[in-house]
Amino acid sequence: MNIACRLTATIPEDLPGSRFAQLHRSTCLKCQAEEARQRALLRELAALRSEHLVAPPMVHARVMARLGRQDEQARLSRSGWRVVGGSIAATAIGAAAVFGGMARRRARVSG
Amino acid sequence: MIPPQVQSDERTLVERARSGDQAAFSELVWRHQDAMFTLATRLVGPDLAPDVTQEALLRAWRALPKFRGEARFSTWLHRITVNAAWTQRKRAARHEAVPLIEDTHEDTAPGPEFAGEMVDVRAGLREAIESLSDGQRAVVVLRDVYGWTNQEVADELDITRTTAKVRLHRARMKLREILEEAS
Ligand SMILES: [Zn+2]
Repeated sequence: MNIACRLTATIPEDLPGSRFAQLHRSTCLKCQAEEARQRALLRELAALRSEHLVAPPMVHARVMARLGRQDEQARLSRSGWRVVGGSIAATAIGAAAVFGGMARRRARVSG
Repeated sequence: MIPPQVQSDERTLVERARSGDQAAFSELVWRHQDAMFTLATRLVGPDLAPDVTQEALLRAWRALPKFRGEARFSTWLHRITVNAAWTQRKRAARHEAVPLIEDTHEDTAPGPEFAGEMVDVRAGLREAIESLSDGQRAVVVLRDVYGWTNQEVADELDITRTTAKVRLHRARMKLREILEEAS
């Protein structure tokens, strides 16, 4: 294989130098044969697209089981926050009532 | 070409799943898991593909509220699969291949009955693809098998367009070398 053929084979398409490769290929039978083999490979690769594998049945089952657990955890943590939030609110209301009462008592004493 | 009725049916399912409807998501999983599993197998091989598919589906469920329908749902799932495959591959490369499946009471290793069934025989080419490096395999699978553009491949794999092109070229040369040696 001469240097021009080797260069042509190593230059990726659409990159600097590909114009040279194109010109060389148009006059070199060896490189044209190479290009034909390359096209055949690309056809074979594209044909793989139509192949379909069947996912193991446990994939669906496990995904749905994990979703169930995730949602349950999310629900628990949300309700946990509601409980915590509720007790914080109750504490705040209680504290406000105590302080309010104290303030009212203080006002009655001083008044 | 997907019939319009199926498309609108899918849109409804996606909408329902987005709002947290697990039954709708379950139906979407049935519809898309084989395609995702096929892509995962091409990217990481049959052993890691079930884990990658599961992880991708779980990521999809979590990301669904952000899915705005700019891309087709199947394209969106493919992207998530590529991401999950990449993560899993990196993990495996660090020798920390922790199964993504939490259940320990079951044998999680995919047995031959779950390894997936090929509907065609192109064993030589498939083996050649498997023998490529991770980076080369990802580029050749996405570009030449799935028909993504160089830009889409570059974006998804977080590499430049030039790197994607060079890697693709080398991967094709390597494939031909392997196939010619074998024949
Ligand atoms: Zn030549």
